[in-house]
Amino acid sequence: MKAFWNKISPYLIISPYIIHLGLFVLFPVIFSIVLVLHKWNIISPMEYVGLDNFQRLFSDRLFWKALWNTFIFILVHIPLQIVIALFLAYFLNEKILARSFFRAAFFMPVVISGVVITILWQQLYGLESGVINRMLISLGLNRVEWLSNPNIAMISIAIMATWKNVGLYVILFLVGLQTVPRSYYEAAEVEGASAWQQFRYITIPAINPTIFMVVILSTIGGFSLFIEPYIMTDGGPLNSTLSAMLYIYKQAFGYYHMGYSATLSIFFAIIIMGVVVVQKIFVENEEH
Amino acid sequence: MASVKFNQVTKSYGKQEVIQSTSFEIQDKEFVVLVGPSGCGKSTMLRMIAGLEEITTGTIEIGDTVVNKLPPKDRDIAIVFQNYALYPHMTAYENMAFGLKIRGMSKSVIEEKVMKAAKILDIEDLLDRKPKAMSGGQRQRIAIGRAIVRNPKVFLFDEPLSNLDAKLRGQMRLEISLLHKKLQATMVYVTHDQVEAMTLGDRIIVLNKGVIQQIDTPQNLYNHPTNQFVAGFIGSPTMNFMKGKIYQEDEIEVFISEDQSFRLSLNTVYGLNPYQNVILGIRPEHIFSSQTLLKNPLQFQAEVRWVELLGHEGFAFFDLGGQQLSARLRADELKDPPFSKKLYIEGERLHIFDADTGLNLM
Repeated sequence: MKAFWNKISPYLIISPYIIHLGLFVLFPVIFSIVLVLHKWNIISPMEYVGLDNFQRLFSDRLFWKALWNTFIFILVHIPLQIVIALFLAYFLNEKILARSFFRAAFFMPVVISGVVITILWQQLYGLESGVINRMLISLGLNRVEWLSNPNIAMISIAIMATWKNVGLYVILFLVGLQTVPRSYYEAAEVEGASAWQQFRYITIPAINPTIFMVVILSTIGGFSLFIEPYIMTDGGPLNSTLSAMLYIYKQAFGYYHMGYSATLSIFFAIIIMGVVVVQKIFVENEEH
Repeated sequence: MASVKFNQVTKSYGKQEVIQSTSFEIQDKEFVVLVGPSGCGKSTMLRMIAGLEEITTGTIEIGDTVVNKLPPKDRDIAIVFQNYALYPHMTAYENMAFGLKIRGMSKSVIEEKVMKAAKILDIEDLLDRKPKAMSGGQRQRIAIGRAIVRNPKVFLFDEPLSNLDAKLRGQMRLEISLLHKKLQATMVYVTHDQVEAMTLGDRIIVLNKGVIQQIDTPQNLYNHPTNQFVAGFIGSPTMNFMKGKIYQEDEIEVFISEDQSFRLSLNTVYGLNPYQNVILGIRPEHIFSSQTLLKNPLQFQAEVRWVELLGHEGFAFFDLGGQQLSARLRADELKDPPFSKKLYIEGERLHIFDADTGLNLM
């Protein structure tokens, strides 16, 4: 009896995860692949359409616009996030006053609900009553149409997303920085390296794996941009903040084009994988 | 090359004084070893020379310059760290060239200097490798190479052999010693290993709890320790200590228990007061199984409880007057314990320390 329990207990222990994985990951992925070849609006039976969904995808200008918007978001968000997170982590790694407080403070937005933060920033970005514009006016500057100008709206969202997520990357960079032995800096100091040279030649290469991880995580996070434009702008103005994820969501639950939405999802996942592989190759080349 | 001078240097962290007022001078081209137990302040002292730790009071001079306010890069020193501190993303060549590159030297000059240092250390075939592709000994050579390319005034070594295995440590010890002879440089070397200290140093500075106990040549430290701490720290295995009392000045007998006593010849004892509490010290290698060749043999019966054999020799452990002692004897003189054996202390090599102050009374 004991031998029997010893044999099955590992499976029992991992079964909740396996059930979760099966129901919420494997089944949706497999079902999406099936949907790619079908037309389905949830109510009517599925209709086999072959590769029609892909044909539609390549001629769907709005999808390409949403993809482009997402790239713009990523191009602003990732460098901004890495630079700010690294800068903050660098100083939070030094022996500054109230270091623990600042570490907690910068991490706080990460644990607050994305919806709450988005609504908060919607208020801050308000054209008339927003705090940011009021401050600009009090400084004698013009108001900015943070969310209503198509040329600025996505950048505004990127700034907000950076503010929300930067704490997580600060912690990751801090961990990375703390693994760099003190003696590397001392050796460099004795050799005559300035603070900038130490940062450039010692810190950056030493935390390269962390930088890679942050780039990958924020790329995937960037591609998943959804809550912010969904709540703040609903993809507007003039579809300027329509992200790929938001477009896929609208296709599925706005228009009930489940087959087409699944096709977009699969295509989008392939793009993300491609970008990540390119990043990995780039970072590995840098390392060697 | 240059001398290094400490003038009443102290170092405190808050209220805790880790280095008490210290003055000494390391001569130009001298190899000085700072030795002491963990936490005695030896690495702090080295780091103060390097400029990696600020000094609290006093002055440090390198050559004729007071360097208190100078940053490490302007002190013309090089340091070899315990963990090598080689940059993992750079090859051995790049590691050695880094300091020269930072100082804006031309590529051809850098190459010339690195190749010269590589030749001295016989590491030319390692230059393309990154640290992770090298053994501990090879990494240490690269770290030393990085130090010598700049031709600094003073070389500082912070426990550089601690991470190596015993065999490699012996080999590297010899190489560092030969390097010193070749470069004729001032070298300051920190270690907690007294064997390293004895074999490498022209002079040794023995530290304990931030206070210099003795500065002397290895041989003088061994033969004439100024106090019980130095006597116990220098020598392997450690010196045997026994509590005792001076019984009568004219007879100079030292009692270590009611039934064991040693008579000391007058010419080796100075200023001992009758009834003074003392600590007797005798090194294991100065206890013999025969009295032939001994100048002042002091006989006793040892009840050997344990034996450690090391091949050609071994250690016999026994109690004497309630204290555990050891004697270094030839392997053929030892057998399976327990056994009783007549042993002789060479009275001429006996050390007598004040029981209260620990100072050597001889």
